[in-house]
Amino acid sequence: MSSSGNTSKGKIVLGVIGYDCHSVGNKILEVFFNEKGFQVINLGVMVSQDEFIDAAIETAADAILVSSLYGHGLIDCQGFRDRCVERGIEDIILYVGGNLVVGKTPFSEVEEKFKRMGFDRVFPPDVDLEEVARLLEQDIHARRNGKH
Amino acid sequence: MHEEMVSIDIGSTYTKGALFIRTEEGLRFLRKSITPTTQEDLSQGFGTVYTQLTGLPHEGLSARRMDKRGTKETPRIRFSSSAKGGLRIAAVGLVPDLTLQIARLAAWSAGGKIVADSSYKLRSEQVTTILGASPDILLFTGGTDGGNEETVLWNARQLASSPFQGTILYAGNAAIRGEVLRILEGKRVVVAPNVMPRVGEIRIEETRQAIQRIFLDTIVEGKGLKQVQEFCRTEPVPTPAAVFDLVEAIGTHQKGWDRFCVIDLGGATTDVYSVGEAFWGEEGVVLKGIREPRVKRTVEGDLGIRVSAATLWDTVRPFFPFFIKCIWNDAISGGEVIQELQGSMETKSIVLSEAPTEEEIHRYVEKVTMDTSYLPDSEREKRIDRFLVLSAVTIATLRHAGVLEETYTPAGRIFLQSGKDLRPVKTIIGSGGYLSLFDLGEPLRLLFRKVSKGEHESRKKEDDASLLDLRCSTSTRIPLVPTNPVYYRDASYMFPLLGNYAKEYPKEVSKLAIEALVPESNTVLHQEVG
Ligand code: B12
Repeated sequence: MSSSGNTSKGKIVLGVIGYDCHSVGNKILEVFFNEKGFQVINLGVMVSQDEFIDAAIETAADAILVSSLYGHGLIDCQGFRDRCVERGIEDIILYVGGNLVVGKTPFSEVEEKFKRMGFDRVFPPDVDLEEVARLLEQDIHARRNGKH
Repeated sequence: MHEEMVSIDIGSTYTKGALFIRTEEGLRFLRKSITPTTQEDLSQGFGTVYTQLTGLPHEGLSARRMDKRGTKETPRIRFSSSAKGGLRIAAVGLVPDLTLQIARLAAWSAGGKIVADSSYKLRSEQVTTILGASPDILLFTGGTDGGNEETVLWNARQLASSPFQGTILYAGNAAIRGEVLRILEGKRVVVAPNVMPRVGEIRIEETRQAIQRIFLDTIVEGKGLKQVQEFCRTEPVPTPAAVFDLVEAIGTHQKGWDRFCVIDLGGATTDVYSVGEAFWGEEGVVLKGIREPRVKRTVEGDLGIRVSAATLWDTVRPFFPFFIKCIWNDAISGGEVIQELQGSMETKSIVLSEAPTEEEIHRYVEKVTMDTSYLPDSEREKRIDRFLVLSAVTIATLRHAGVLEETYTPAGRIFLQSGKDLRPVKTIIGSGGYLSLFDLGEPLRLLFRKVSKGEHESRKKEDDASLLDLRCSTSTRIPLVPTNPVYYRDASYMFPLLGNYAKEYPKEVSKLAIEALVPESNTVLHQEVG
């Protein structure tokens, strides 16, 4: 029998949103989170909101980690949380990271915008992944205990 | 080595059989036989065909066979049956594009017909719809292995408390199989591995086998099939599953047959089988959703030219001007459609004046719906039949095929593909009563060419629903139908008969199957049906 969610630190759906085809970071994230003991469902590049959500429903994932590198993240992620709510996974953990906007907008503003859209955590490209793994484990733990 | 092999197919109207001989050189066809199916006791028609093929008596089927055992060698027998017009399956899945779609593919590949389906949580309305469709099997899927439990368990409880009497085949999240079985205690339940163990990974072979197993257990009861089974000392296969096995064998063992379709059109349904990679990884094309299997079958329960003529006509009607323009003229002159379309106004009006009106077709459809064994009794009626055949084939192929959608991205234009790409299909084989009679290469190429350019717009805006039905709402959506197929006919309707031996002798039967095909000719044949 396959390893069920409870034996891993949690189940995460990973992918690069929209028409973004930057694949290198996505591969790194997959390897990294696997090594950290998470069960990773990697959807690769050019993933639509519905594809993230479809996969999360079938696998009963704890979190969705969205990447956006090509500068259109704000548009691509618009309404993501609402869609999760509509489709019955309103309490899923949503992270987003990468080169989230074009130009020199200060990160705090970017973070603010994505958080208003319902993302739980927002990360710049130079984030320390160890730190992300720690937060993720914590958030998943809290969610499973109904405190999310 | 010299072995005689009998193959018999008990269809809904006819019981057909063939005698083959297998030697070192391969398989040869010796003779065939056909008789009306004896609905009350299927073993009678079966016996008649058996005697005609082998010269051996058939009275008291099983007794005779027993006597022979040990004394004289009796030929090996395999048989198929399309009893009850095919196996009725209800598909329950979680996400429509994932487990539900895979459940459908599994049901079709096993020779079944989807009579109802449901995604996400089953509510009482859905349960009522499913019960109303009276399925033989409920294919219950949902969740990856170790994935969704909540909805799947919910659905199990809904089914447990429903009065559903048929067999429930559970092929969902394997991690909770034990719990699902406990909930469904008291129901007839069969299990198979998850049809989608991981996101996007399709595993349908075991489910297909399980469905066929259930088919045997449910249909063999009564109507003389039991006797036939004892006599043959073998179990029947559902007819479409036999064809599926043959199609797979051709695609695996015959050189040059790596991309083709088989279409079997009957009075009630249209079956489409395809062989070939679903997605070719072309530059600028991105696959969305699941990668469909290399061998795929779909069945359209609303497209047929007798029992389902009325529902076919409902679908065709909004596109009547398109279809009549492409098809009718061809039916008259035998493939001169292209000339007509490029020709002068004068020729055009002459030709089109002979075309039937919608009302005429409508009346014909009413007539054949009332009398489903009706055979056309004039040239004109034959042409109307042909019109119905070609439109049913076009629509069934559109539904089987995937679609490309044009999209603009920061990096330029790309295409999103969903479903199966049939564009590289080199050959279409027409099988079944009607398609084995007509030479359809020319009109099908024309229809597919026009359809793939989005030229089949419907007449009125309100017909949007049926437009979507044809899976092509705007010109930037390109249906992935075959672009330039050659047409062959399974003129002697051998596919189910050869299919019965496809699992045992895939090389031999697939070779004989393609040797027996009749290629296109330039003249249109108008043979009698039946
Ligand atoms: C290689 C590359 C390409 C290649 C991609 C090849 C491939 N198969 O991946 C090609 C040439 C195809 C390409 C195309 C384009 N590119 Co480019 N590309 C780059 C480049 C040079 C490197 C990207 C890379 O691989 N980095 C290495 C990986 C390891 O880092 P990463 O992708 O950032 O991912 C890490 C982090 O961001 C983070 N992370 C990412 N997602 C997430 C999510 C979460 C939740 C977390 C916690 C962390 C996290 O972790 C990752 C792993 O460490 C960058 C510039 C740069 N130095 O970043 C530009 C860059 C990303 N591209 C850019 C642009 C504009 C484009 C194009 C639009 C250009 C064009 N007009 O054609 C196209 C878009 C095509 C498309 N449809 O996506 C811009 C984006 C601008 C912006 N966002 O403001 C960049 C930043 C260059 C620039 N400075 O202008 N590109």
